[in-house]
Amino acid sequence: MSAQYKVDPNDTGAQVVSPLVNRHAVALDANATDCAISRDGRVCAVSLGDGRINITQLDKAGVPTASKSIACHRVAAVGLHTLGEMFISIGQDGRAVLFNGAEPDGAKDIYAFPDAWIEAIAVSETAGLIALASKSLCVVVDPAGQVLSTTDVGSTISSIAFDAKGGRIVASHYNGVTTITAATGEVELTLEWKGSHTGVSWSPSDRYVVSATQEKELHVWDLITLKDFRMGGYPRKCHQMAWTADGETLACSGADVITAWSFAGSGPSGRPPVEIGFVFGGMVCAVAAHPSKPLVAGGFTSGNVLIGGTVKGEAVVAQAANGEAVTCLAWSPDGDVLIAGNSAGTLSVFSVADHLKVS
Amino acid sequence: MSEASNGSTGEMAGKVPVTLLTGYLGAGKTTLLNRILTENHGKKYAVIVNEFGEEGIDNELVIDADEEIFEMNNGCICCTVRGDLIRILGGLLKRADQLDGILIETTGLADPSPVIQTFFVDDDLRDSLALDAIVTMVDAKHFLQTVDLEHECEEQVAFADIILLNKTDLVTDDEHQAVEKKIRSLNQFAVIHKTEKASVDLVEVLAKGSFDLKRLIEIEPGFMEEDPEDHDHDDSIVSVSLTSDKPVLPDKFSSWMRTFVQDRGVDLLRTKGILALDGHEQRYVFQGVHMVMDSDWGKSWSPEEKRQSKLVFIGRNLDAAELESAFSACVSQ
Repeated sequence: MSAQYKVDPNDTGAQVVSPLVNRHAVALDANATDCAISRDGRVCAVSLGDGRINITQLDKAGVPTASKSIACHRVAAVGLHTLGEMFISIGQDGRAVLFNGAEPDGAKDIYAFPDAWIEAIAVSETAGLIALASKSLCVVVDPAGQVLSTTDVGSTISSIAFDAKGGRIVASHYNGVTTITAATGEVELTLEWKGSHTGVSWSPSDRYVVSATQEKELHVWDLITLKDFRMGGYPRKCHQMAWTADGETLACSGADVITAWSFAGSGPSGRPPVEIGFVFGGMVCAVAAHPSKPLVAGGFTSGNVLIGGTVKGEAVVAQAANGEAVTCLAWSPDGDVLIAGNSAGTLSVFSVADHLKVS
Repeated sequence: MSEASNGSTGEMAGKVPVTLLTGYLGAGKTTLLNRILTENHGKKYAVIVNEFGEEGIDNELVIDADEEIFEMNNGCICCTVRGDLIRILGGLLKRADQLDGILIETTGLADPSPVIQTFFVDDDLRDSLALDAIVTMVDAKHFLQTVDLEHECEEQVAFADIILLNKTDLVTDDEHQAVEKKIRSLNQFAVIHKTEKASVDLVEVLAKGSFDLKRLIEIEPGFMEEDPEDHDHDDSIVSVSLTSDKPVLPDKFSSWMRTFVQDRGVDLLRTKGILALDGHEQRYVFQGVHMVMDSDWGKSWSPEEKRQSKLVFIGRNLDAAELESAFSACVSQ
């Protein structure tokens, strides 16, 4: 399949795009909460609501060859990240666990918060650091579990993100966000905006910090001008944000389309976002940016999975709805495989290389 | 996600039921929570508490709340919301298929309305959870002394769907009657269960669907005497119920309610209503907490039923005569 969909501005009906045909389903037996693909593209890891981690091996063509779920957390595993060849999982048992996808039985704890959930994880591949958030604490550790810094931001942290080099962390909380020096834990900036901030992201240019709020808006701070502004119009809260590989576009969940805000030039102020995927049904609840192309994958509450262009807003390929909300999406590092986990416990593995060849 | 264990239909289907447990200090909430966590009832409940010191409890099922209240930026002046609950419940939803229900304990001193409003204002919680009932534990022995001194004690009773009148073994019949009378003056729709050492059948407490509009088919106002109470202070809470056998005019009623809720939402703690609207076969059911109202079409009236509309308002500064006359202006003459 290499058909390309062209946007017809006069077409108000359902879009006809080429379907994601190369799909392989893996049963997980529990709600998928997050997913990631190893650096070599051969192992998918999925964190599960019952605390286990599913490990699915892929062949060169991106077809699953073996799958097993291993016990990891005592209660829900809620976040998963790659770091080099390894995976790191966080759980509501307060533990951060490092494991190798090829030998997951050798998993080891790198940090544990006593009697508290780990709410968020951020990883900087560049700096080789892991940031973990629990209650109002942000702890920075290296892969050996050595603690570099601990910072109490004074308000419960909902999300954390590294800057491009991994030198700073931004944490979202009530009434604003705080930036922290990773190595020392020193608070650099406290950026205020009233209300509950539920997610945060740092632009690859390091210029913008974007938070998602309980009021269904995005709040943007420009760290050069120190001005801030809102981006709204969302029917639902934005739970996931992803920057495209060129660092210029932020794709977000929270609407019935994937919204892609261009931060090129003077930024998104006064410009509407590119909207991808009209009339697909359901709300976008998961997004993941392609590792090299200006493409983004979106997962819908209806079960749709869509890949679209962030410049023109064209839908490239889509999978029909199966009724179960997509909870997480991840690309292989080469961009040839896309995986999607859902709330009903299914992992879908899509080999998309053929779909995306012409671009 | 698994089907909620109550086997209910309509709004609640597939949603995890959440019970809010409130009550003044020492009323017996901890005893009840311990029973729910340790008794062999075959169900798995997560409990969100403020502080829990008990030993031997599966602590993966007991989550500490932080009581983080914030104001919504939505223009609703009484809309304070519990941010910690949005976060914790969102987290519990990740293991929703492992749970039969969730209990939230509020501290003895806290106004329960931010907790309740949290369920009404957050779409994600509304989609996946169903606020099941507000259960208030009342200490039969000390209630009458506390209620006149502490606002929170009054409010907890006013908000309740189910009241567990605990420690009834420690009071005389007369004292018991006096406590029930006081409870009824504050809340005319709550179901009251008498208990000793919180030993109520859990079936009477959990998965009752009190907030499920589909189940709101009858309101049975409790007994009320003509002159309910000597008001101890001007802003004491009262419960006012209104009925009418004449068809309610939809336009007039909705315009009155809109204005009333807007103007008086802060004073209005809870509202429940079942209306026979002029020209409609189905019951119109609604309920609210402060300014937040939920409404739906309920069961059809059967031919042998009396098409009687009932409304209950619980709140402060409510003038029964004024409400009565405003409501009677909304019915077909």
